[in-house]
Amino acid sequence: MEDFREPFGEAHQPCVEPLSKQNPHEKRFRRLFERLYRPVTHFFTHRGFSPEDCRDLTQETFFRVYRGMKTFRGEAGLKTWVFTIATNIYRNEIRDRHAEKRSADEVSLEEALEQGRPVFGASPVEPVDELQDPLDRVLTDERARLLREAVVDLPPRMRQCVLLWLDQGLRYREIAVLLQVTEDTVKAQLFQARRRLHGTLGEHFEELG
Amino acid sequence: MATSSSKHPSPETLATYLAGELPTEEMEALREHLATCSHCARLVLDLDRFEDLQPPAGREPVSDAEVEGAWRDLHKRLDRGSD
Repeated sequence: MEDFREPFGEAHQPCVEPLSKQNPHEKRFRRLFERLYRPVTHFFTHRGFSPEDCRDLTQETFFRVYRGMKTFRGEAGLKTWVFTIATNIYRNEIRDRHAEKRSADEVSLEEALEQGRPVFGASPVEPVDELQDPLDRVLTDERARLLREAVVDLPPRMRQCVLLWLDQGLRYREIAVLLQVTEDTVKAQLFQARRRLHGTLGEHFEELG
Repeated sequence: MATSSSKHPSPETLATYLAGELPTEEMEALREHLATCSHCARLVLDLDRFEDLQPPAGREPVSDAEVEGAWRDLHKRLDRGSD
């Protein structure tokens, strides 16, 4: 991890004054902005925000980065610090949007009746695959239930590998990063998990084939 | 997609975890959370490859002109010193 203690460490002047040619931090901040503007924008893009929202949220991130330089002590890398600020902004934005949506969704009974909107059963329903045979669906659900029960009984690391692989569809390398283990460990854990689950589930065992 | 109902760790905790600096007990609890929370798992993976993040398929890459324009806008805002 990079160490940016030198540019923004305690020994330096706090960086709160407006940007100007005289500001000694401008060049450093500009370099940081140029280096991380795209990654921060892509961070928000990947979370489904519109291009306009991404621009606003990215600007907000760097605005806070600039203001926070006064307190940044460089314990974490600067890149990590910028990322955590972007993540906090993202979480706040999601929370605010949910609050707005909840507020907009609160409609009086009279209003709903007037507009001919459903009063009961208006909550979203899980989509059902209509092409799938009902018996197949029951069998699939039953297999999934048995698999889940068997996975719970696995040792912690093995269970974590299986959940990340099956539930979240991650690759070996990604699982290794998430669990802070080597890729070989992930492979070995999944290999062992296959054997154990096969022993437990027998003919019901297909998912890890 | 898997999501956990338990409380999400702070971004700072996720970063500390990725730096390998979290105490062992907390580290194990966080692993359990990540295994069932796709939201936090994605954050950790994004942090791991932060500088290499690419736009999703179908989205235009950010142009140099856009970066320059964004810098000018931020500069104005900082000069005003407003929130």
